[in-house]
Amino acid sequence: MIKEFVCIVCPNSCRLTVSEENGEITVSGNECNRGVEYGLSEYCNPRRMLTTTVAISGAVLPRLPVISTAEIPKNKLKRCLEQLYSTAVTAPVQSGDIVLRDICRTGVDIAASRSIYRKNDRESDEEAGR
Amino acid sequence: MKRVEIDIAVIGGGPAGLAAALKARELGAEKVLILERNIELGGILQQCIHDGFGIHRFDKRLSGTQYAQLFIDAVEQSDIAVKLDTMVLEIGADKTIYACNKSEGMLEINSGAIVLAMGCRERTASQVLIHGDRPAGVLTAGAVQRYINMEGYLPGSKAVILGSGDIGLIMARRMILEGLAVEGVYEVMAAPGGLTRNLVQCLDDFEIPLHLSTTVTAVHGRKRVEAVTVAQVDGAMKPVAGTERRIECDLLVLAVGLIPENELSRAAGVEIDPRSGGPLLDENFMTGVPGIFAAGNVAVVFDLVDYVSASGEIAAAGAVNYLRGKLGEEKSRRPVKAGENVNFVVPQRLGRECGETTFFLRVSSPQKAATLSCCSGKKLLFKKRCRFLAPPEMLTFTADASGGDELVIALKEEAGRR
Amino acid sequence: MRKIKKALQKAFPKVELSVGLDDRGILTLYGECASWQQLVDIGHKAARLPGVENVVNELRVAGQRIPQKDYRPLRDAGRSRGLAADVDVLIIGAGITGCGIARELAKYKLDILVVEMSGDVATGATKANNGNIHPGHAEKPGTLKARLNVEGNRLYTRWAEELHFTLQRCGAMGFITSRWLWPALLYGYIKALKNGVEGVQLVGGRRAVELEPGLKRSAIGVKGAMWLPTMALVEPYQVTVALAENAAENGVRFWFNCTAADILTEKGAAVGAVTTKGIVRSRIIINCAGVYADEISAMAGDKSFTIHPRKGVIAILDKARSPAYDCLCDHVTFETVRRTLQKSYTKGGGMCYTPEKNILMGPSASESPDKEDLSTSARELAYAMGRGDETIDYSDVIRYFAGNRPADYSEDFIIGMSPITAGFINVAAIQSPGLAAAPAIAGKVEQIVAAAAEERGEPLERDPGWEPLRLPQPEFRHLSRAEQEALIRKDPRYGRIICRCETITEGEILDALRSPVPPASIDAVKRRTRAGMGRCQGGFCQPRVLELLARERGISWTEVTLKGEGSRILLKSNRPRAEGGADK
Repeated sequence: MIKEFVCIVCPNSCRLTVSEENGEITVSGNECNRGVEYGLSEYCNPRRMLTTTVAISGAVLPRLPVISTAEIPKNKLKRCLEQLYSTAVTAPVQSGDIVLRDICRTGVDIAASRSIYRKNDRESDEEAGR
Repeated sequence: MKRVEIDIAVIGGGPAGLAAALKARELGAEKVLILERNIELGGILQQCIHDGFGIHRFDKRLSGTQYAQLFIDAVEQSDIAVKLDTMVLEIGADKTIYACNKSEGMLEINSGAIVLAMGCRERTASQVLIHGDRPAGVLTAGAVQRYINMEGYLPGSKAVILGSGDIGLIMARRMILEGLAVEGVYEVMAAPGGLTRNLVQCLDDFEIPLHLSTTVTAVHGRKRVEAVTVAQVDGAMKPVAGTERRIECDLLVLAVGLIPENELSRAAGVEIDPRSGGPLLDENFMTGVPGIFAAGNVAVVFDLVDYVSASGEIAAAGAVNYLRGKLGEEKSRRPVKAGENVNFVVPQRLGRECGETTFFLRVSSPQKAATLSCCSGKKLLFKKRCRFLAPPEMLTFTADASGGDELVIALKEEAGRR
Repeated sequence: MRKIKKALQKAFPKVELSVGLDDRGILTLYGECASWQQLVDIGHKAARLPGVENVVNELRVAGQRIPQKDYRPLRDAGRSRGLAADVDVLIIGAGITGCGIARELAKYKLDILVVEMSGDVATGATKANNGNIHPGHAEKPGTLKARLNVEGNRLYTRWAEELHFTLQRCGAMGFITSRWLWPALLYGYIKALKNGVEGVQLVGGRRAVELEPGLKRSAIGVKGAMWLPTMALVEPYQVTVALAENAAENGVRFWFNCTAADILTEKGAAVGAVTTKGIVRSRIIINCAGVYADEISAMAGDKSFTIHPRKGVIAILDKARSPAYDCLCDHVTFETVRRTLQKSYTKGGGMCYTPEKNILMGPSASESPDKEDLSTSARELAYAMGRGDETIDYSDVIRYFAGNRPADYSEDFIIGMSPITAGFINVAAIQSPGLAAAPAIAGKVEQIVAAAAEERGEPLERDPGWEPLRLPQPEFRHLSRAEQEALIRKDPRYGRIICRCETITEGEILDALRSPVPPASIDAVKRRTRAGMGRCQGGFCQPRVLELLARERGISWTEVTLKGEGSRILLKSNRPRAEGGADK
């Protein structure tokens, strides 16, 4: 099997070709060794950071941004999102608080990427009592 | 009217303002005040939930919100005063600030020094001469980002994005992850505006096509967007007749550039550099009005938040020195000239004894390999080799630029190298 | 009639034409021509022929489908709803004309209903107007336009005092820099005198520079000028909102998103209308339907004119570009004289500014068959931008937009009781100077309604409770710092700025949302408050305005529209499962 990638390790943006023959994987098109490493990981086990939001109640905003504590296998991103999209948390939340542990058995946690306070009571009174 | 006396007033609580306030306090300014128009600190970073922030400063790939949180936590632990939900209405040349908010009414703030950190705004459909109808569903990337990431609503189901800078690319991925279809990203320039990493991880990962030298010329739909017309452009960026293509979509996302928000600065008498869009600055990031400094995207649109913070710290150090009377009243400042393939340089002028100075510049056209040189007359002050230069990316270096006359910064193509 | 046909065939030899002429002098054109522009040209030519009062243009264009509104489904839907209202006066259209008439008629004991097809007042030609209250010097002497323009200009002072909208009597000046052009000024001066323009003067160069010091700065050697002190500026939608609000406070009802689909008549008299909200009974129907006025008139059995929309594109510039002159200055040159002599209907306008000191470029003028086509093109924008001085640059443009002038072929206003359908009053073809003439038009219609009532033996009765005054709402941006401080103390909501570009407060937006004719869309809020009208075009404040709009109207965020039905900004919540499907 042959796959092509653009290396993102440096701005040179080498066009890598990764081919697999009889269980042997070779990377070509790279100008430096870091390209081999990148090509292999993209071919064998591509991983991505996951950032999105979850619903939050009682906060000044209705959404809490979250981030994975490590990269997640690319093919599991969709399932992780599904799970996050039915997750809701309640304010207050501190940046770094874990929202979901070991999401989709990836071994990676999902953490709040900001702190968020409870909705100011005074503010909501004013809006309700107009 | 409530009167406030302060040493340093920082206008804007985004990354530039936060860094400036913290630095000013660290350097010993007693009373530091941040004036923020939003209901919370962090500025536009609060809607930047994607990662990739802080690589230079923290050697980490933080989300925009995480990056902001580090500074916000530090400000909250300090004795820096913060006024949220407070709008600055006017800055006088005498550095009197008029601001207002709900709880205190009108404020008259007398400040020893001011750091402007108001950030920038986005260019709109009219500014890139898009024609046709004016329906709902045409939004800037920042507005879409706010609606999706902070307010929790989707402004469309099938999007076309104009602009391949990092903001456009990031929004392409964001919308895909939120279940929208992204028909394609269109870029008027011949080269993509964003980083390769984003081209790979935001477009290639989701098989979103990028169309170079192509722009959106018209919007169709009288109430909500129904389609857009795209066309290829020639070398002069003019649409080529006969290349028009109609694309069905219900959302047009515009990521077509940022403009420093210098309306307050102008009214205060600050002179603006038409090339950078920000004030004419010296090595302390002081504007032409003594005691008024500028930092972050109001000074010049940076590509990385790390530089935004750095510029805040430069301005803060300058402001503290100004308060202590250490910045001499220099009548004449030496110009810093943009030489070969340099579009603009900040700072634009230097004091005689400016010492170690950090320069930020952008190139005019892409270069594979070039030598950056900073010369004062025939004297070479600084030189370094650079690779893969492109206009969207900012270049920075620090050099001792004291003495001599005008400075010229240039990028000369390296012969024989690819 | 044969003469008319001959004249037209001579002018357009390639067009197969047939004509019909009734005893009112209404000429109807049939046949097929080559292009829309030619269709319009034939109409104009026909209207200028002796014996022709106006033209109904039924020509077709070869190979082109001309958009036609299909009223059938609207009519059926309206009929099925049955009787919705029984009023004394039904006004169709809530532009400046309809709202002006509603406001003036509200002083009588009349039950008045205004129906408007869009979601707000001032959404047609009114909102795309450049706000000039012309002195009336430019209209052809003897026309209805000339008379009502001069009178309307004068009446604006009272309207502004009673209704508290901004009226700036900036004055206008046509100046020359060549003595050879004195005859052009003199010609204009005599015309102005004939029309009865107040205060018009011919002045020498020195006096001109005294009146407009800006001319000294530009140092172009003014030799003389025609000075028109009555020239004034308004924000057209602000005037319309003020009229509508005052009318509503005096009992006038407004139904928006309500299209008139048929006019009901009995024995040659109007008895009501079928609207999309049901049947409205009324013996007085006032047709202020703008570009649709010809279609409404035809519904009443009075097919006596055709509206051909003439599109105008206006560009609005950043306030950072301030106007060079205090008054509206027009440099009269050989070129401008030549253009005026061309007698073209497609001249369009030049450069002016708004009371808030945004420079306006344009409008352009182009004929297009689609009454709802408000699209812009590079060509139209270039035309609008080309009418100023060379220092104006595209980078100064913050927005451009288009409107359709409701032009007929006589190119004069049509105001009067229909001779065919009693009780049906046409107020049609109100294009420039319709804004300037609005108070006079309203007065004239008031007289027509009064005369009709008199004739019926039911003379109009003044309503003793009529309140002509509309209280001013605070405009934070125009106050001194001390006044701003006092205002925030009184109500803290004036201390929160929502629109940073135009300095519009939460208090002002809430005032608008709680007004007698509340805005129902983001654009409607913009027209009332200026929130989103600045250089960022709502990029920052739209979510905040949306939030206030949703909260005040008690609707969800996804129901808020940009510009009325069908223009929702947000389609759905992005976490319905986590939020239990509920919108906030």
